[in-house]
Amino acid sequence: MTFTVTHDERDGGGVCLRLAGELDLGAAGALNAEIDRLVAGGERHLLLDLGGLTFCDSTGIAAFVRGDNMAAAHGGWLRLSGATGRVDRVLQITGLADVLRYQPETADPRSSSAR
Amino acid sequence: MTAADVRGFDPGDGRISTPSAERAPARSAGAAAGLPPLAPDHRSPEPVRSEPARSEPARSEPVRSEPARSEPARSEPARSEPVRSEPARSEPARSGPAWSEVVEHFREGLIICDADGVVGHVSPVAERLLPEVTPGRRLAAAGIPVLTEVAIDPDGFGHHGRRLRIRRVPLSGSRSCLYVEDVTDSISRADALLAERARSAFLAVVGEKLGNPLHPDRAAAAVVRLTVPTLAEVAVLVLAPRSGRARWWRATRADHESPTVDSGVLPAAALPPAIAEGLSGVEPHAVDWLVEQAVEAGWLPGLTAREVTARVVLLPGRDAPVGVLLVARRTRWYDDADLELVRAFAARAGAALTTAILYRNQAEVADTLQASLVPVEPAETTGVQWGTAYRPAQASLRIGGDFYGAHRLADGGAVFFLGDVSGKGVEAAVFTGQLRQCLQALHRVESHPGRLVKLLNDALLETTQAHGQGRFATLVLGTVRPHRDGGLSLTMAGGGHLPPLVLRNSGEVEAVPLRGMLIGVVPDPRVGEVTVRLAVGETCLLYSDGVTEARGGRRGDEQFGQDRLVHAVTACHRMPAPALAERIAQVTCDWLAHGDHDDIAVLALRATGPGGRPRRHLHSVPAIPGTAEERTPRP
Repeated sequence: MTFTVTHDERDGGGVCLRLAGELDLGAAGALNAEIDRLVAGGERHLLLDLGGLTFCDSTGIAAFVRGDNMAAAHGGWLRLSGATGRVDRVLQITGLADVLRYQPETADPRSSSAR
Repeated sequence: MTAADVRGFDPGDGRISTPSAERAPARSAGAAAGLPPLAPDHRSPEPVRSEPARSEPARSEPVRSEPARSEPARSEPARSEPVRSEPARSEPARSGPAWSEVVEHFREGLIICDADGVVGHVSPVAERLLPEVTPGRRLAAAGIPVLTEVAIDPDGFGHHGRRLRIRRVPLSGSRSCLYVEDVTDSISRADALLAERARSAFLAVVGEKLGNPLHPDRAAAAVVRLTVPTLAEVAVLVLAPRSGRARWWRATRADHESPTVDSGVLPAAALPPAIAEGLSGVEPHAVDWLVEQAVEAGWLPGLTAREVTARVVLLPGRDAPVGVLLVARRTRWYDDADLELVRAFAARAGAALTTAILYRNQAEVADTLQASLVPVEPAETTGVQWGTAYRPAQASLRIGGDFYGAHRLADGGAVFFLGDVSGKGVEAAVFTGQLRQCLQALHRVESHPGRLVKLLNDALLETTQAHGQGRFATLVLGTVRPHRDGGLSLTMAGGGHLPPLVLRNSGEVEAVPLRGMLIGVVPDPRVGEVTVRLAVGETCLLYSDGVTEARGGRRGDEQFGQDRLVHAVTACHRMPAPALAERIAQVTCDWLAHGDHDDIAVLALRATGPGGRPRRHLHSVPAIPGTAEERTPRP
C-alpha cells in the first residue's frame, strides 16, 4: 500500500499529520521532507496520527526520532498517536511509545495477546 | 585492413557510376553530332555499350539510368531518341572528324581488333595506357596476356604502376573492341575509404570488448588479445610496476586460431630500457633497438631481430602511463596510418585499464574497511555453544546495520549482544562499528547488563545527536554465567529490541518478556532486565527484525512474523546452536519473495553442560510453514 501524508491544523495551534499506508525505506524520505518543511515553516508542535499506518520499520522509527530531535532543537516536540496493530507493536518493542508520549486510542487485542 | 581484403566486395558504387555520369554529356553530344562511323560497320558506341549491360547485370545500372540523368536532352526528342533506340544507327548524319574528337575525351581507351586479332585502331587514351599495343600487329604480340585471356578480372590488373580494367565487346564480323579504363585513383580512394572503415570497425570492436572490465588482469588479457592479429603478430603489454614488480601479458598469433595469451611478472629493474622509458612517459624512438631488446628479453618467440618490425606505444593513465604496449610483426613496416591506429587503440586500452585498476584499488580499500566491520564470532565460553547467522541486506558489501558478538568476562562468563541500527548500507555499518567498539571498551568497566546498556546509550547519544539524522540502535545485551549443574544463567537487558526466544527441553518455545527503550535517543532510557535459566540442552535465541519483517509468502508482501518464526524453531530444541541459527536464516530467506531484504542476524546460545561438548543429535526437521493459514498457537 502506498504511503500518504495529509495534514490539518489543530485547535490551539500545531499541526496534525495523518499518515497512512506503509512507512518504510521508500516512504521515510517523504515524511522527512514534510517534517522539514513544517519545522522550517515555524511549526513547533507536530502530532502524528498513525491510525492509517499499517506498517512501520526502523527507517520509520528513525524518521520519528529525527523529527522529534528537530522540533526539540527549536523548543518544540513531535508526538505520536493512534498507532494500532503491527505499528503499535513496533513502538512498544522499541520503547518509542513511551519516549514520544504515545496515547493509545484503541486497544489492540493482537498486540496485547502478543505478550 | 588492406586493399586486397576489401576489393572483393565493394567495387561498384564509386567507380562505375562516377565515370559514366561524366561520360553522359559526351555521349549526348556524340548523339547530337550524328554518330560518325568509327569502324566499317558504322556502329555507334551506344548499342555496343549496352551489350555488356545485358550480359553483366551488375554493370547495367549506370547505363540504364542514363536517360534520367540527361533530363535536358529528353526534352528534345530529336537528340535523345537516337541515344536510346535502334534507329540511331541508321541516322544519316556522319561526321568523321567530330566522332574522333569525341572519342579522345572518353575516359576509356578503345582498341579495335579484326577477326584475326590484329589491332586495327587504338584511341589516344588506349595508346597512353597500353603503349605496347600497336596498330597493325596482333594484340597478343603486345606481351600483355590479360588483354587476350578469356576470363577478365573485374578488379583489373596492374600495368606501369597503374591499375587498369578492361572490357571486351564483340563487334560484327568477328571483330572485337577492347575498352581500357584507368581505375587507379578510384581504387585507391575506395581502398582508403575501406581501410578507414575497417579501422573504425576495429576500434568499435575494441570499445565493445574492453567495455567495462573491472578486473585489471582480465582487462590486460583482453587488450593483448585484441591486438593480435589486426595490429601485430606478437603483442606485449607491460603494466606500470607496483612495488617494484611489473606484470606483463603477451599474445602470440597462432595460425587459424585465436591468439595464445601468457603472462608473468618481471622486476621493474629487469625491464628492457625502451619499456622502462615508455613507462616513465616517454615514447621510445629507437625502433631498431626496440626489436633487439624485445628479442633479447625473449618476448618474440620464433622471431629474429632481422625479420621483425616493432613499435612501442604508451597506454595513457591518469598521471603517468598505465602501461606500454609493444607490437611486432614480420609482414609490414608500421606506417603512419598503422601507428595512428595503434595509438587510437592504446588510448582506449589505457582508459579501460585505468578504470579497472582504479576499481581494484577502491575495492582493496573497501575490503580492508569491511574486514574491520564484519561481525566477529563470539569468544569461546565454558558451557556455552554459540551459533550465529548473518545475511547483510547488501550481500556484495558483506556488512550492514545488524550486529552481534560476545566478549569473555573475567569471572568466566561472557557478555553477549545482538542488535540493529537504523539505516542501511555503509552508513549503518559505520555506526555499527562505533557501537561495537563502544561495547568492547565499556564491558571492561561495567558488566551489569542494564547499566552497560545505559552507558552505551550515553556514549551513543553524543554521536547520534551530533549526526542529527535520527540515528539509533535497538539491542538485547546480556551476560551468561555457567552453573555447576551445566545450566546457564542469562541476565538480559532490553534496548528496544525484539524479545529473545527460549527453546526448552520440553519442546516449548518461550518469548522472553523483555522490555526497554531504543538507545541513542533519550538521555535516561527505561531499560528492562530479565534473568533466564537454561538447563543443559536448552537454547536462547536472539534475532533481528530482518527475520520477522521478511516479506514474502503467497502474496509476496506478507511478513514472516514471530508466529512463523516460533513455528520454524518448534521441535528444533535438540539442534546444535550453529545449525539452529543457520536454519532460521535459511527459513527466512526461503520466505522472501524478492531478493531484497533487510539485514538478517541470529545469535543462539545453547547450554552444553559441564563437559563443554555439545551432544550430537541427528533428527528430522519439521516442514517450514509455507502458507498464511498455517499457524501455530503461541506457547
